[in-house]
Amino acid sequence: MSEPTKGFICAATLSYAYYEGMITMIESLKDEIPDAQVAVFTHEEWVEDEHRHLFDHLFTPVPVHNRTKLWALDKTPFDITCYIDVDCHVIDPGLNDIFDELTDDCDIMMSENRPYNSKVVYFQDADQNNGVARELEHFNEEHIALAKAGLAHKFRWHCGFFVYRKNDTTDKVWSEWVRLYRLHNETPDQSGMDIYPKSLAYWDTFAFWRLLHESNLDIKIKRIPNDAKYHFVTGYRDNELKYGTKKSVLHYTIPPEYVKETTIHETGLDTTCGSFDVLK
Amino acid sequence: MTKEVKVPEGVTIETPEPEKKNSDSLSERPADIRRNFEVDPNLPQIVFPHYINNKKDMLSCLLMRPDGSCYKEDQIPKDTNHPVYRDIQRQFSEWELMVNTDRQIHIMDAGKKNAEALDKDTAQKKQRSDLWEAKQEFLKLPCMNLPENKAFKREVRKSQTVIGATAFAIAAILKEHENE
Repeated sequence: MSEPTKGFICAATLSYAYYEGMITMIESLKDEIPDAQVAVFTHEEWVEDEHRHLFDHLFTPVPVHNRTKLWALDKTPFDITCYIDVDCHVIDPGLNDIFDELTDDCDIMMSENRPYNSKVVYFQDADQNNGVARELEHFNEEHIALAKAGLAHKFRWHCGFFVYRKNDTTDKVWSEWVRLYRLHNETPDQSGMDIYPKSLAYWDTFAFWRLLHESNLDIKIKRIPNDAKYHFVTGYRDNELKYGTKKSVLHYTIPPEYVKETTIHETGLDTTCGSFDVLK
Repeated sequence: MTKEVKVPEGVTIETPEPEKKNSDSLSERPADIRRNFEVDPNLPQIVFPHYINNKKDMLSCLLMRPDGSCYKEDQIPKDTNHPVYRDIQRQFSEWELMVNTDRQIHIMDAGKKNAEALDKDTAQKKQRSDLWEAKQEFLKLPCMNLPENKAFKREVRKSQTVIGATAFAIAAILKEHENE
């Protein structure tokens, strides 16, 4: 039996800031792991010839949307894929070990959110709070007590970095993720948010949580061992990392003003999210 | 069984006084709530009077007019010549004032804690984006593409502070000039 193919995928669409970020991310990846295979989903009009050598697979046209990654996941050319956000830098070749972490008993491995370093982690649906759905604050002791008492939901998984196996189950998971994200953002008055806080519609993390919460797909998902080694978000405490291991990926935030400044503005296009129906 | 012990002459052993409860522990004090006082229904109702200083000689409260509108009355001296304090004293016991003061301290502490946490969240986000912005600028410098600067380029990426990244970017610029 031939060895499964392994590689990284990333998506940069809607705002040119993401494309610039993607270039530096892939440069850093190839500096640390020169034979890394990379598949890229971006707009053809942005691709410069001097960057083509960085892309082993280039997918265009793609949706002009800030969540194109959801659409791209089932189109991976690899058997085992590591998805990585573009606002990251690879700083150690240890990242390549990520493919060995995906054990046979699971399809997806993800890193966990650290509540102290995340904007939204806990929330209550309308049924949990006398008909009023709301976001909770990770620094509010009363809110944390609600979560501990099982009266709130928690986003366990960070969706900016994960590794997965391509198979029928994961293909279904990714298409369901797109469906839910669209349901949350494209239904009139966000009625697709149902009993959940409307303010969460923008977050793909929420659509993923709902997918796991409501779907009956047999999803085998686990936490990446020593996940801070593979995905270290700026702001994490250094003791998140196991002694003797090195950080291999640093994750940042692209300044939102710059993202806004470099966003494609076209008639009929939502400038915050874009559209899954417009391909470029 | 009781044992008797002879003590030296002139020495007495007194039974100790029962231990006094901590006076700060309001919850354990007997509730002293004023109930029988006269009020003029045409005057504003005094709501939530409490001390506003450590010396406990200034108070604050809300005054609710008969039409339901409210205003806050601050800096009320603990002086029986002051008309509002006189009314407070008539309607609220010292125990009630202390309970309210404790509640107010708790509310203010919680507000302060929340504000600090919000500031921390904003600062963390800003730190993340400032670091990204600085590194992107440095990585775009032409000198970063020189093969001899590869180590500095990696150090810029690894840096976890803007100052750290700046130091390695400067080192890369100096290296380029060394070669000229």
